[in-house]
Amino acid sequence: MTRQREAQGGSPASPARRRLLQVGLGGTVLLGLGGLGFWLWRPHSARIAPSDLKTLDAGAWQVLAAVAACICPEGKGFPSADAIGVASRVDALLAGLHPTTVGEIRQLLGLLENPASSLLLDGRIGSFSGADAATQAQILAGWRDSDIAVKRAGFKALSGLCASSYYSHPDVFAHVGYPGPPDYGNVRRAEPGAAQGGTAAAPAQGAL
Amino acid sequence: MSDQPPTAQMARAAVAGLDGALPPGISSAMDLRGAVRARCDVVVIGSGAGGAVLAAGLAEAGHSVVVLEEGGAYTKADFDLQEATAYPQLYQERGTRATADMAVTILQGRSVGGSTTVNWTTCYRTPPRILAHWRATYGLELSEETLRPHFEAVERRLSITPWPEQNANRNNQTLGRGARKLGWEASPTRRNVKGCANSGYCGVGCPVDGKQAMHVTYLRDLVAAGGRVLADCRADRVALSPDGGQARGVEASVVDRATGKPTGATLTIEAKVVVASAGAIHTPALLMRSGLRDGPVGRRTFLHPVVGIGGAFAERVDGFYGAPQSMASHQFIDRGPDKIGFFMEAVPVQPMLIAFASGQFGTGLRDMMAQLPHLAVLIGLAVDGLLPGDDGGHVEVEGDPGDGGGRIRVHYPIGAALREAMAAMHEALAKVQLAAGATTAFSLHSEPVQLRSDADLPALRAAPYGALEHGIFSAHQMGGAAMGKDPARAVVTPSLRHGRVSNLFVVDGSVLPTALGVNPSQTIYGLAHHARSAVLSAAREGK
Repeated sequence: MTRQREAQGGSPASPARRRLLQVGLGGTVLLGLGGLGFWLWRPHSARIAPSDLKTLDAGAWQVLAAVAACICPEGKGFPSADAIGVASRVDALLAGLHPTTVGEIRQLLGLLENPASSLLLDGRIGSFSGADAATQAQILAGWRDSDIAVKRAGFKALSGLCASSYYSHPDVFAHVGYPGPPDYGNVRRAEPGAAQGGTAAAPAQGAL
Repeated sequence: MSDQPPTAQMARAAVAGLDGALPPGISSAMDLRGAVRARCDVVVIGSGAGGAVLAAGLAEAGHSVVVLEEGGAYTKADFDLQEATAYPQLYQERGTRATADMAVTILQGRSVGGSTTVNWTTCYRTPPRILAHWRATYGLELSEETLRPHFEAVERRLSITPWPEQNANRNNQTLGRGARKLGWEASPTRRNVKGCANSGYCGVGCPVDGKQAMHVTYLRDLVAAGGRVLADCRADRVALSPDGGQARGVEASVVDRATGKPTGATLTIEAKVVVASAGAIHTPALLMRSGLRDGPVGRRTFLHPVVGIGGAFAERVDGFYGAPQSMASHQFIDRGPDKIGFFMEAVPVQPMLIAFASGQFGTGLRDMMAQLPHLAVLIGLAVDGLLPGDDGGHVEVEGDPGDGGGRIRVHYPIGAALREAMAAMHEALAKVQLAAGATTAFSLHSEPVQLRSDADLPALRAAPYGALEHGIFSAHQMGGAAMGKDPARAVVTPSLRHGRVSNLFVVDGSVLPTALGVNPSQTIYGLAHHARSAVLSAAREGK
């Protein structure tokens, strides 16, 4: 409730302040800094990027995979984001978006990873992918609650992509108590093994 | 590409009739190669609630009609009911559309049938108070009486009927039960369904054609009357006469369904009448790309901004099954002259949508999602555009290279009046959840405000509201090419004819001068049906 208390404590100007920072620092400038991320620094990651990426380079994919693991952590029986293939699923989704949007996502990942921007914006030393899981979660929470609009919006974009990809995967359904869609028997299954409903649940009338 | 303007190219080219150039029925433009040219009476850009209803009427009156659709053509056999498939396939920007600042997630359809393929079937006639506001403020003569025959016609064709309350799923029952316990109005909705399986999957493409979406109704009528629908075909611009007073046709690009990128093939359609029915975001963008920046084009874009409140129940809710919207409360639709009113509805509680909407991450998100079968999720929709000075948002085409490839951006500032309405919506929704028996109600702030009783309401009131403070969504896009009598305040006339281009019409949600306070699909169906006579006259004049 930290943010709520802060707001209650008299910072109704918070949105205005973010706007000011957005104008002052400039989203474009910030994102441009992100663009340097993969040029100057290689992500610290044990994850090996697949060779058939559609939009991201290996470095951006590795940072995205680290973000995905943080947004959708393994545990309590839930599979890991790596097991679900979240970063690659997001990479494939991005292939259908406007090139400018894809470029911004790349830059966001660079901004998150880039030690220089981390030092400048967060006062922290080191890259995102080189941090431990708890620190990564703190960094993402910092972006979420940031007064800098680009970071807050960036958190929403990255977390939304990862959470949507993870929780729409049939391997996660059982863990959230979702039996999956009923099978009406009329669907062309273009890709065997592609996302399908898992168990054939009773139609809704029966379930109600 | 030639350096000559498209209009000059078109005038000199030998243009084929439709039979030689385009396949009959509903087809994909991805089969086209090179630069294809064709001629017809009316070309309609967009196959959703506006374009389909209009196009069917024109074809049935004997005109040759081509409907262009940027999205793909699908049938129920394509709908596997997986969110992972459906949102990238059937929604704009693969389901990722949002305002430029990322504050408002925008759900908008993109396939043959437009948003009707994925909407949640809720139908209302345009409320009399909205018609009265339009009459007083914009000089529009539309009345209940004027619109009645058109609403009756679309209600018959689309089987718009009340949904029996006993068929409401438990998520919608939560809304009805909670609101009534509080002494508030709540009523079953009407739905455009026939043979509905009550599956709950309206938003990912109806698996049984129970939803009477455009691709199973008016577009079938269109095809039966000889009309054509060309999917995977993006209208880049309306081609104009040298003086800009006449539309000559449409310049379009074929787009690859998998990548969304142009294939290189182009389609030029010469027509007597051009109709923009691409929706409240794409129609203004198309007009601007065509150099038609007259009047407030792309301005006064309204979103019915949505906020949500979850409720955790001891018993199962199973809100992923059953018609997603079947109850609504309009208790707070009119909050007086200085406040933005709102209405309350329900959503499908399916995993991707809820995980995304929650705004949480990590173990907090995981713990919330583990309760999914026990969650009810209700929404409030703010009625924007009615208060003086509430101009909503605007649409721009960013970095347009002139080939239709510019990025469309929606800007929607959230001012003080809307923030106040958002706080009020949160409070009303939380009260409903608690009154209905939720053990906990929770907000969609990134750090959710949890309420176990009304005693916790002060914490909710103290929470921050506005852009990027909590989840905000839109499934209803309106405005951007408003109808009206005053050219300074309208893009099209009351008969939906463009203010300067006499054979160009706009027939979709972009003509709405304000938001509606009800789900907009039936208003768009009705207006399109109403517009048939004016467009027919123009098509006859063009002969």
